[in-house]
Amino acid sequence: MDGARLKGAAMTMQYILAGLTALGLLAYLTAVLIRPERF
Amino acid sequence: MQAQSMFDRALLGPAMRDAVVKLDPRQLVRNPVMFTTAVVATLATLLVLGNMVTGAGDLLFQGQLVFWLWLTVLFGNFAEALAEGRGKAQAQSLRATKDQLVACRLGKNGEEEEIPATQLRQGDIVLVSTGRTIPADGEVVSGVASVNEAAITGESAPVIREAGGDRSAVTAGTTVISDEIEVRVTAEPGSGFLDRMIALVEGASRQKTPNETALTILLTGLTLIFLVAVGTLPAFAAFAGGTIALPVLIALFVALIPTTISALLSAIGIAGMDRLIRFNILAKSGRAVEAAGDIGTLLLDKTGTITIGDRQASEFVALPGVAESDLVAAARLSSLADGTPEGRSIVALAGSGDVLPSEAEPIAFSAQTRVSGIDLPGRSIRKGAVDAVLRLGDFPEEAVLSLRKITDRIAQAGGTPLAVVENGRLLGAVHLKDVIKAGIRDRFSELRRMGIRTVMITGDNPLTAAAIAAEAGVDDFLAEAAPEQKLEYIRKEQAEGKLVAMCGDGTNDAPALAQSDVGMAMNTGTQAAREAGNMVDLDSDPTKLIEVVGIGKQLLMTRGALTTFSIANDIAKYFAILPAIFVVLYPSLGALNLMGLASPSSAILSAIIFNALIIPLLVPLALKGVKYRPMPAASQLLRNLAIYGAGGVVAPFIGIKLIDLAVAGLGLA
Repeated sequence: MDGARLKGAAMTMQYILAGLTALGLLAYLTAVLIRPERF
Repeated sequence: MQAQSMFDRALLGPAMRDAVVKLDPRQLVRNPVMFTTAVVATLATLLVLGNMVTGAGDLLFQGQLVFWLWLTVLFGNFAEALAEGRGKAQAQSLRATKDQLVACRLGKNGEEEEIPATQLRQGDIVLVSTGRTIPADGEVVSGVASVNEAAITGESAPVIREAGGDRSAVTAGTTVISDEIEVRVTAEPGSGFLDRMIALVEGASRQKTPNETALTILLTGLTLIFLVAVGTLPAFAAFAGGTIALPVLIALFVALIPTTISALLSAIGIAGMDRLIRFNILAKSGRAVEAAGDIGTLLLDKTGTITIGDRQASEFVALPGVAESDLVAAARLSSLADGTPEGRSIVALAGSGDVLPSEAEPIAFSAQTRVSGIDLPGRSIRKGAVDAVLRLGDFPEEAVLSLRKITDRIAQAGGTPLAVVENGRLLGAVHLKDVIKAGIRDRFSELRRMGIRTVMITGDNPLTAAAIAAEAGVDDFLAEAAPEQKLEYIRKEQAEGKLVAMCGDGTNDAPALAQSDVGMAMNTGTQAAREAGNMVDLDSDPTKLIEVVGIGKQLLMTRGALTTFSIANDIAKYFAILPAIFVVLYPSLGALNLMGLASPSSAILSAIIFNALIIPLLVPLALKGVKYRPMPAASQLLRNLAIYGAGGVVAPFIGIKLIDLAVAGLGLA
């Protein structure tokens, strides 16, 4: 794999990771809003 | 209790260590904004590590962003750890007291057994003699003793503890300094007053208060909105034909979410409890401290709170046909052997005269007879409650009517009449006056300005109560108050939506203490009262209820002021970060760079550094509290909006600019 393709694949991975984190946070923050007394 | 300075080295070191320990996600998850910051800081760390492998992006810049993101989380943890640390230091000395306690347990046949206090169980009877420390919370079942409660209250003056009545409760860790008492243990090991105090000052049993929960909902809502908003930015950038580096997006997100107030929120709550503890008041929950700040009605006992406990003689009123000098002389003579404050005040008002004759036989006051006096050869003088004195003999109707007129006038003026009779002849009355505490009228005016209604509770008749209420300047009074009436009054006020505070010490106060929103029990009171209240005043000074309201208000104001500051802070960050991110894609956004920041990278880095540094800078204010001034809520709000709202807008512009100059000067971005 050449450098450019490696960077491209890493970029995609980073966006997937960031997307999953954002979704996880979305779920967590929603849970806090629904049951704030648990946090 | 003594508190350490927040900048004490003994506190700073452990607080720094605890800040790292608190990175444990199980602890962080209770603070949604800081947990979110830690999650995105972890993501940014992984991204930068990935970029190190691929060599993508400006690693020095991204590395610095990650460093400051983690510092933001650590500073938040540090603020909480520092607030908790002050409590822990206080708890340590209490624990040392508790661990060394030894008990002398009495068996069924009275045999004595020395055991560690931890082995005591509820219902055990222990013998505590002079010089010994009381090993567990309990009630005196036999004997009377002077007890030094300095270990708990910091006050070295001894107090009397005796079986029965309202002074029977004793606390583990206090020392008997004279006599001997038998105490029935009322608390199981680990659940005593000292244990609860240790847990409270350490913050171990701290639960979120209703206001904190409400604020958490607001801050979480804002975080959610910014998460969605920042999540859409890559799409805008793509539309304009560019990209935004993920670490930069993360930096923007962290700068926008309310990290400042979230980082300081629990520290503000802990510091509020701590302020009460330093004031020798133990709040059983943060909810009680918060409620104190919202109190609408304050119920105050007349005796000891509004008036000084002892009544003073202010006037001699002789019956028609009786020389005032005869009344004065008789009242004086009958009071010479009377050691009560009232008796001494009669002697003082009467002025100089005879000394107590050696053949005199003083008659002490008793609750049954309600009279006292003196017997001399050929003379018998009695003084006391009017009805009790009139029962002593068959007096002429005219004299009784005249006495009634005089005593009614005294009662209407708020005083207590004391009838005087010599050898079966009514002489007149002594006017005992309740002495209003100096400055109490001003305190009530102050409370009125704060929007708090004061209600005087007294066992006096309505006439006397009305006169004292008018003199003291209270808004209302409850005369001839029985415990049920107090409870009814509190419920009525609460039904009107007001929060009610009261203090009490007797078992009969327990229902009202439990019903009130802030129930401050006196430490000298019964176990039932201390259990029922949600605060315990270790100095047993009912006037401190007024200060408790101030501390509660200060807590609420500090939280409000720092929330305003934190949210107002965002404005400057928009002007710093948004042009930096979009100026390449949308050059016209360069106009937003009002601060003239050196470069897009330095603008983003400066905003993130400011966002982190503002937390430790505000820690002293969070722990010390915003200065509270008694004034109406609307004026208070305007004042705080001007200081913390406008300050929150202006401060970051200056701070970010200064940091940008340093960052650019050092070549960091």
